[in-house]
Amino acid sequence: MAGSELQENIEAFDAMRSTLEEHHLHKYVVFHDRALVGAYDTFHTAAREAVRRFGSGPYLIRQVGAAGNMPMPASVAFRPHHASR
Amino acid sequence: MPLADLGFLDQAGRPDPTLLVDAGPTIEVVVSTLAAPDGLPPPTRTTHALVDTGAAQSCIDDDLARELVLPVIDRMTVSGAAGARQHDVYAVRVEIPSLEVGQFGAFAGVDLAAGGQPHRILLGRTFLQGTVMIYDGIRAQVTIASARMNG
Repeated sequence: MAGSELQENIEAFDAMRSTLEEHHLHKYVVFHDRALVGAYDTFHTAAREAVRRFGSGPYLIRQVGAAGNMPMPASVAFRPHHASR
Repeated sequence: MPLADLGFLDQAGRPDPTLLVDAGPTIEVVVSTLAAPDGLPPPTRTTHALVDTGAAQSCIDDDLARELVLPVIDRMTVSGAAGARQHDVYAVRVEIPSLEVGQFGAFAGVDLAAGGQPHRILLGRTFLQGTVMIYDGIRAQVTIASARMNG
C-alpha cells in the first residue's frame, strides 16, 4: 500500500536524520524503498529524478533541516462564516 | 515585469472593497504536477488561489489534489486551535499565466473546499519570496509583480 510505503520511507529518513543534517543540510533528498536515492539542490531537481526513476512513486521528497510541522494558516482555521459566499 | 491585479470589481467596474476584505487577494492559477516519464501530460485544473501572507507555506485543497492524482511525497503535522493532525504533502506545480511565473514545490493538503473556502490554493510566503505585492486598502486594489520563475 502506497501510504505504508511512504511511512517506511519517512522512518528511514528519521533513522538517518543526524547523518543527513551533517552532510546534506538544506538539500532535497529522495527516499525510495527505505533507501536514500540522492540529495539535490532544488525541489524541482529532486522531483524530476524521482519521477524519472520511480514514476508516480511512492517516494519521499523532503528538505533536510526543514520544519516537519506548520501552523494551520489563519485563513483556513478561522474563516468567518459570512466570507464563504 | 508582468503585473497582475488581485482585487475585485463590482458590477459598475469599480474596485469592490467588501469582496476584497471577504475573499482576500485572489489570482487565477493552473494546477498540475510534473509530467510522467511516458511523456503524457499531467492533468491540470484552472482555479483560484489566495495570496496568503499569513501562511508560511503554500497549500492545496486535499480534494483537488486527489482529483488530479497528484503524487503524495511526504506527510506534515499541521497544528491549529483544534490540535495537531498529520496531512499529506503533494508535489504541486502552480502556474500563474497573468504573471508568467509559477511555483513547483511541496504543498500541504488542507481542507479548503470542505471548510467553505472559495480558493483551492493558498500561495504562502514561499511564493511571495519572488514577488513584490502592494495592498492598497484605501483604493481596494492589490497589485503583484514577479520577475522570475520559482523552482
